[in-house]
Amino acid sequence: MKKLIAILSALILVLSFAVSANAEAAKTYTVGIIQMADNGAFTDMREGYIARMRELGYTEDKMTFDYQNAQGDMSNLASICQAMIDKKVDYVVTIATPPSQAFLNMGSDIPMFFLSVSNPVGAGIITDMAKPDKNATGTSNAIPVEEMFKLSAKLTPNVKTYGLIYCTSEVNSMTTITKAKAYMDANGLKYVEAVVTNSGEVQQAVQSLIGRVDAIFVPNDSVVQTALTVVADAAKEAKIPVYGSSAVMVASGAFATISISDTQIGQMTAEMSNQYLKGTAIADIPAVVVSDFTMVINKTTAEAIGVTIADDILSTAKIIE
Amino acid sequence: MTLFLGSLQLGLMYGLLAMGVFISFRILNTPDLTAEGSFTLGVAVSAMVTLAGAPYLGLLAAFLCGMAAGGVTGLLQTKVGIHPILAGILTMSGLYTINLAVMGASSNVSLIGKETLFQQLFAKLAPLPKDIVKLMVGAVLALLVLGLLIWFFKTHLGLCIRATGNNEAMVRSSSINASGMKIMGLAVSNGCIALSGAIVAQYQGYADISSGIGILVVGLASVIIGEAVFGRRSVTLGLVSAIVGSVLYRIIISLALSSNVFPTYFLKLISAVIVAVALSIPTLKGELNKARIRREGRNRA
Repeated sequence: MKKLIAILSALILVLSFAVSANAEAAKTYTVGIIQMADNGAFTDMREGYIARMRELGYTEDKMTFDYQNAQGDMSNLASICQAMIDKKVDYVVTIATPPSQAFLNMGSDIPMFFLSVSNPVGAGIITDMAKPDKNATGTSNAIPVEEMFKLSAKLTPNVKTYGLIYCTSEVNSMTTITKAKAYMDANGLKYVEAVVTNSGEVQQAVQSLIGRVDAIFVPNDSVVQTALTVVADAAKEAKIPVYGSSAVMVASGAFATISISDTQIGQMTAEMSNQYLKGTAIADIPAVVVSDFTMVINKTTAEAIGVTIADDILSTAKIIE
Repeated sequence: MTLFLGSLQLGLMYGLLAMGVFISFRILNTPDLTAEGSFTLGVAVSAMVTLAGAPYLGLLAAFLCGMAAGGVTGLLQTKVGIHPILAGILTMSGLYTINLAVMGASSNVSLIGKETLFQQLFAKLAPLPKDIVKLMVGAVLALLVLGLLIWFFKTHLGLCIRATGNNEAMVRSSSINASGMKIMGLAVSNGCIALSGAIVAQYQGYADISSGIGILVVGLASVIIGEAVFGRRSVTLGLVSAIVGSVLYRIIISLALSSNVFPTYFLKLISAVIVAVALSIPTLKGELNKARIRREGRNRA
């Protein structure tokens, strides 16, 4: 029992230090950022957000960011959200669906800006995208599946069967896959699915598709994304194109995508936060589905798989070597 | 204050998980990896039953489903003779699909704005602050399950399960069905783990297929931290120390979160170091004691 008391009192002592240390920075804005996991897209969004806020005049002496990352461990999310509420941050920025749900469910009066939530209404964090009713607004980046397949029809018109690689545990990629299947069913295209549950299984998933498909489509899936070079290499060897869902994927060796850069999504959300800081109520800042897309093509991959791209497309696309 | 209260709330809710892990790890003396699957199963079942309008029934349903999952691992271990670690892994990966199916093939189900048992209690106990209500729910549930488990492990069946963990050969020679006892023990263990997931789902306001990732480590760390404080004596004390260990673990995590000294990506390392330090205290104390005795011995000589 003595031991318990000793440990507890030591903990309380350290805790009180931590609390008092936070109380000092009062005059500036403190913004909490809660990121679900370490993945390229999330990190780009966060950095895009912070960079834009700095540009908008919220310099380091005026705004500090308290960035926390659950590192994929959902049992930490609640603690992170509680820490933010304790620190009385001015508002929080949540990246991905679970942190947004976890923070909103705490029922604090701290406003929330969300990023990378593919279906905010379904996730229960907003009732109507146009009228934020839960003190939360932000951006949703649904992948433009239709545009994606139209691009594919233009660049590689002979593709009849697509391979789909995705992880069943991600709500974002499941949303995209459902849309992709609906589009293909309606347009007489065929598809073969390869499902993974962690990034270690991606290699075998790709190999199971090679020889059975004419192209591979990867949704906005953070698990597959971490192993995208594996997908890209195998596809290059088999000389089939990989269509990705973000510029990061194309940079990792996928052939092409129609997307908005994750940095831009961060920037757009930063503009919304700026509106709020300038006095607009959260309820008057509609949540938006990002729809301003650019074509991104990887030229090295194009050459490797022997696809020639017409000049008119090349001139409008963003080219990655 | 929210963080401290929050750590208490979470610690009590994850205390159910810690008790479940204690049952398989210490009482049955068998490494059971089903936890990651059965925790998520609890999360999923509780969320779906809550959506159907019966949050309390959700807890009970989750407990029963968790028991079934533990039973499957037990069957694989005893009747089919699969190595205990592999049996747990098999059930865990099988549960992944079942969990997705429970959640209607969706990887995330939202409970925000739905009638969870917390929402119902907030309304009923209106003037009380929400944080206190959440704390009460955690405490009542943890104490209730604690009481039931203490009672259970003193019944004839409970004693047989404990004996199986202590000395299986002895149990078999007393013509007790050792396999049955193992299956029963694993069922109770995973029932508790699923119940923990069930209450956490309603607490955090969503169910996600990844909820169980890393949960076994959380449970084991809680059990061992508890033992570092109380020592290893009786089953009753062990169950109590699992809950205390779980609360301490949450406080450790919250400390790691509120220290702004290190960059964010240090979180896991910091929490690992703090846990390691906490665990080494008893050994260090013992060493210090020995050193003191040696010194005194020399002085006397």
